[in-house]
Amino acid sequence: MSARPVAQWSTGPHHGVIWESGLALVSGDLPLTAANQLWARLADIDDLGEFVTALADVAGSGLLVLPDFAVAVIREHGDLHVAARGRLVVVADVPGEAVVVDGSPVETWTERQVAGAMSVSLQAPGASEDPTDLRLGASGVLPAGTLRTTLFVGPVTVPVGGAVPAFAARQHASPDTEAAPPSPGADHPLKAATLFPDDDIDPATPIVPPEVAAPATSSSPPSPPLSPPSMRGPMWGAPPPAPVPSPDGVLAVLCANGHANPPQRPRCRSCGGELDGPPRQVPRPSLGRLSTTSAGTIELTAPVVIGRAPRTERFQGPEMPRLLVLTEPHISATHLALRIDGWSVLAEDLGSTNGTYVRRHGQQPFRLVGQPHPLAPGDVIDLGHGVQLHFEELP
Amino acid sequence: MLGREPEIRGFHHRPAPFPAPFDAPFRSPRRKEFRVTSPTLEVRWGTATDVGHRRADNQDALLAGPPVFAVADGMGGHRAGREAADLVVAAFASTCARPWTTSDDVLLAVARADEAVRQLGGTGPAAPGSTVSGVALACPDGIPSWLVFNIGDSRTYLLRAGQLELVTVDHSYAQVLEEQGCSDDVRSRAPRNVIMRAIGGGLREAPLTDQWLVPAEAGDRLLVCSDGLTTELSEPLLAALLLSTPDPAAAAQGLIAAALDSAARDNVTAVVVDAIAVRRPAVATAPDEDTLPDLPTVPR
Ligand SMILES: [Zn+2]
Repeated sequence: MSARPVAQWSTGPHHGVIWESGLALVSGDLPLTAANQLWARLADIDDLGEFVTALADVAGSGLLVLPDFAVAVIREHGDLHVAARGRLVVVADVPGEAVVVDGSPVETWTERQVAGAMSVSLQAPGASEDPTDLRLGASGVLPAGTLRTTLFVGPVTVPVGGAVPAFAARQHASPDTEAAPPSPGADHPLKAATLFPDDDIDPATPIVPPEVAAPATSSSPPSPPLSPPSMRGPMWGAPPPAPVPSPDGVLAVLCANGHANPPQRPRCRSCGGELDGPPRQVPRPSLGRLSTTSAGTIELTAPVVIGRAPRTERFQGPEMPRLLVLTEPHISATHLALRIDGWSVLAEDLGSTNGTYVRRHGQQPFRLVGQPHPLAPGDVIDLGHGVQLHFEELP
Repeated sequence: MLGREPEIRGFHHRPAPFPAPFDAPFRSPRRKEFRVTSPTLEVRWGTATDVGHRRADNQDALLAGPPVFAVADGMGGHRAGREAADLVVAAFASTCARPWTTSDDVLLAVARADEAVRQLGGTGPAAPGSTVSGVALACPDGIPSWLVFNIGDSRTYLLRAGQLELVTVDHSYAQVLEEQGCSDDVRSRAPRNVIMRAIGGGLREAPLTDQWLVPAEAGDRLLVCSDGLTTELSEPLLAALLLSTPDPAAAAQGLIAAALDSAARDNVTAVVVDAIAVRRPAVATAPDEDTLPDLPTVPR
């Protein structure tokens, strides 16, 4: 976002890397080819974490053995996210102070958020030579001992990309003229769902933009469009669909032995007894049993997630999904799920490597793709290599 | 809370064996099985919290000790935010009292916390409120698991096999923008401290509680933290600090120290939980049912 009016550099043994959103000095221990790869990856990066991840990738090392580096990711208004590791340091000039970030005391690296910097230097300790102006484009790799850039201190010609004179804006912009953050819609009916924490803590740095903190009756500007007009429902802030009020019941007919059955069945799915009573609302019964050759049997009282190391998706309870662990190596970590909808049990493949197949009496086995698929009594799910899921007493 | 030294604590818990609370035991119509051990999830943990450089008081509260580890980040003026966070932690401590926790327990704790926070009074956006995020020890189907929960913008991460993964999803305005596919540029200008879900906080209704169930593996490390940590530090630095510090209390301390080296504009809290040992009940499977006629027959 932030183009720099002038970068300066002195030659040296390290890699100076400059890109649209920041600059870095990386130890000359990193091969030049890797430094070039790093630069190529940085084009779209405006986040310190992404820089470190890219550096770890090109260095081929883990996060714990990175080459020494100093980096400044430049945001608007002279705000920086900087980091230093090993012998390289960051020096940021803010009014009245030189902020030095030195990673040498820690094993990893040191990060720092710096607000309102006028310039920033990346250097080896004790670098004394005056850097010379660098009149290149905004991006590249060069042999460097020190890299330095001023940040905007006044109106400048804005290059393509539309950076604002950040420091000046910080001094003079009012909320009316500053590019307003998207407002969470003060007049939205769900306004009450918006929180404004800590409004009295630190008046020097407003935490919530004034147009957001304004009461619901103010003339706050409407939200900018956050979603295509075709999106149904509230644009934002809508809580997920309310859970169906518990108890989670179904309409059922009971046999003489008290087994719950779907209303349309003539005979009990458990004992075969006649079903002639009136339907009534009952807590949802087990919808049968799932049995496997290797992992035992579980009652279908709740959704089931099946895999080598199965993990649930986000859920909101109170019903906890059940987990079925299959240890065979061809099973994916999270392979498939069984979902429950009324009296139906549905199977859904969760992007498994080797697929989920349904064997249904009198039909060719078919592979589950995409949507949850309702299971019928007698269905067998085949996961290959002899791993099968059998279902008993499905409704 | 007021001193400059972070509060740091560390513990190790080796659970006594206890029966797993199966509500539907495993059965097999074809083979005979019986459990020969109890499920176990042995944990060690450490915590650290600090008021940070800018705030007058620490409105983060934490709970650490089996079966639940949580961070609550209070909101509201004066002392109300801290009171709200303390009420949330107290509700979890009193509700999650059994060795293994269920989703029911977590939801009951949230309901109790929400009621208690509302009784602090206040209306509208300035009403006291709190986030909560954390992990409870659960054992569904005999599988020792992490039951991760979240309301608001505190976070729970899982470090497994060297990879740090954010398990929870923030209920923040920025997250809503991201889910709607807004550009980085729009998101970067979104107000950071607006959250869409909270306990109390002047919301009309008690919040929904997002949950995730993750079977535990020995060597897992969980990080529960307030947004004061994650707004200061990049995720690679969180990962590097967690990877380079075996002791959980020292890891929590290292995270807080790194946040204080950064700007530490907010209160900052970290709870680190390690799975030292995970034992699933071994299931002994008889290869041929005819050879074990003395075991009970399972009805078909
Ligand atoms: Zn019956």
